[in-house]
Amino acid sequence: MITRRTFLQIAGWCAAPAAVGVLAGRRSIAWAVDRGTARLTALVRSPEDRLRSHFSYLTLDMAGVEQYFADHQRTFGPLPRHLPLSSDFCTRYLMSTDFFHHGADESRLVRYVGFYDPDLTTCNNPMARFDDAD
Amino acid sequence: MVSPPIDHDGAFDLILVGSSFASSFFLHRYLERASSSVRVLVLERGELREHAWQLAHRDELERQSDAAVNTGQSAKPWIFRVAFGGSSNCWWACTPRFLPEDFRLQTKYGVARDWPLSYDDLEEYYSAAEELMAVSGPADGSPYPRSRPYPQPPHRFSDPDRLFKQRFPDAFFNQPTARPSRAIVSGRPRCCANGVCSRCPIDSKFTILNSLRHLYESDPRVTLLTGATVTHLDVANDRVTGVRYERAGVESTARADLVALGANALFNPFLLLRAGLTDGNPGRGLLEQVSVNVEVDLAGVDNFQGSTSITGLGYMLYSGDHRRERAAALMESWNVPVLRDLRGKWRQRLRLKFIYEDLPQPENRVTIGSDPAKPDIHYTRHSDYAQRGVDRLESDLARVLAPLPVESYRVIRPDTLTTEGHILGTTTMGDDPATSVVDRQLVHHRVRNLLVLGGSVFPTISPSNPTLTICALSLRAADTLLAPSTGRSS
Repeated sequence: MITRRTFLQIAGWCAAPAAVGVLAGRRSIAWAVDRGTARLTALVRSPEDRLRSHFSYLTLDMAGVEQYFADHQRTFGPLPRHLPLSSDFCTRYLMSTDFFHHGADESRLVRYVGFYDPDLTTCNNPMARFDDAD
Repeated sequence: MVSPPIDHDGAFDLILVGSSFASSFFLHRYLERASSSVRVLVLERGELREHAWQLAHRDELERQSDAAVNTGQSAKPWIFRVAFGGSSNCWWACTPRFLPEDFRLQTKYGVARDWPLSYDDLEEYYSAAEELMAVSGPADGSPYPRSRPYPQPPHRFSDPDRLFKQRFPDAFFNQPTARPSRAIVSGRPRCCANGVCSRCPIDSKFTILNSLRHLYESDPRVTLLTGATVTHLDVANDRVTGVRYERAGVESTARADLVALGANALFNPFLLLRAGLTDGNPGRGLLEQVSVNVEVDLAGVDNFQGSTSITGLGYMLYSGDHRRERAAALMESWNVPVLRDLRGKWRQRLRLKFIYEDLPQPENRVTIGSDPAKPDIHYTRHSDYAQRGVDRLESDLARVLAPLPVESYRVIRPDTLTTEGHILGTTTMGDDPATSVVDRQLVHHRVRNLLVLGGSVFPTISPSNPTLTICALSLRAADTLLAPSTGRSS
């Protein structure tokens, strides 16, 4: 059961960016609301669940999502479990799958193919084209 | 400790300090022109580190270079490598030439000073340097006159590049680069757009290690000593009479008819100052370019189809009368996939980098301090001339971005503490000994058996990447030195 102290902490967390947004304009309000919602969600849902939710319009290979988190932790260290997932984290996941290899086809199962790290897995840029070359 | 000179079995014809671009291109041409009996000693402060070792010890290499200088109160980073091949181990292999007007800034725009030589004086050496590096470049013209086509065909444009090219056919080109667009017989694979070029994981970009190592290891005229830190030049009667260096805790002295400093713009002036060679104010005018990133979100145009990390160069803000009052800029179009986190628009983002020239400021300088092996670096900020260029960018963007379907963009303001990875100025080239350190042949004005090579001799720096010009100057210096009429090759 949520305590009064926890409720106030959550409310404060969510209100702060919203207040900044009010001061900065309507566009920022939308950003602040999104951010506040993400922070709230981060308190109650696992990061894996939130990544699947972020890409709710795609069918993700579930074991691959778990593997991505493990590989990310191995490379960059532990992920703060109660902070929103960064855009870089989410797009790196996409780069680590076969999504772009298949022309960003949203109807296909998105399979994890390996942690996207060009230092370790070389010549694996799924977007580069060499058809003018050899 | 000071020990007797190491037994070098007599004097050398040439002592080279450093093994990066400036030294290696000089050595290449020197060995082509010199007789079979010459003896060359190369003193390299770093060790010869294989490519695989460098990949595994990147942090160590960065710490080593950071520890080699005193930056004092200035937190601005200066990127270089203390290793055989120097900064060729960490460059991005961008190889545009300077424009002809870059050599005539005073004559054409009334700004700073002219170089004592012209684009035409360097043209054949630019071509030779491009051949040695197997540079890939545009096949449909270029912003500067060329006597030969590029050795390799251009890299593939991204789709935004194609839009730039349609709108600015004479001001937008494939980036010339020593990241090859085709595999090279000697073993360098084709660039495959990993996008981490400072440490190219497949050893594709040109480095001294992968392409000119044979000069040091296979030519019997050359002796390479790694781990040898040059600490002092002995000068008497306007001649360098000895080069003191420390290796494995032992100080030695080597002697040669000719000494060439090819360290970098931090260490070249440092060694001159330590030798008491203050003519022409070595150390003053340390500088590099200033860059601003612009992140553009596109509407309906995907990006990242190019075949290398940086695919296009824009000259829209380079030449023109604006250069009388504010800095020229070169625009880089980036192809490293940094995605938008937005459904269906993942690839609709473009990073542009605007690189502004700077002018030398006397307060930005290298001095000697208490440490006999470390230069002291003083850097405050870039010039007002550069800043005026930067300040103008937002109003210039309407014209520059016109070919693109722009949804929004963000200008990421420059920070004077960031770096373009270039180290320039400090031992200026010129005709007047009162205001320059070396002449147009890169020979010290007073000490005539001493050459200074590299980006330290640039009187002005242009917005263009400096490495190809450094290499061309070194080829020319060796050629001039050993021209048959001088008789020095025998």
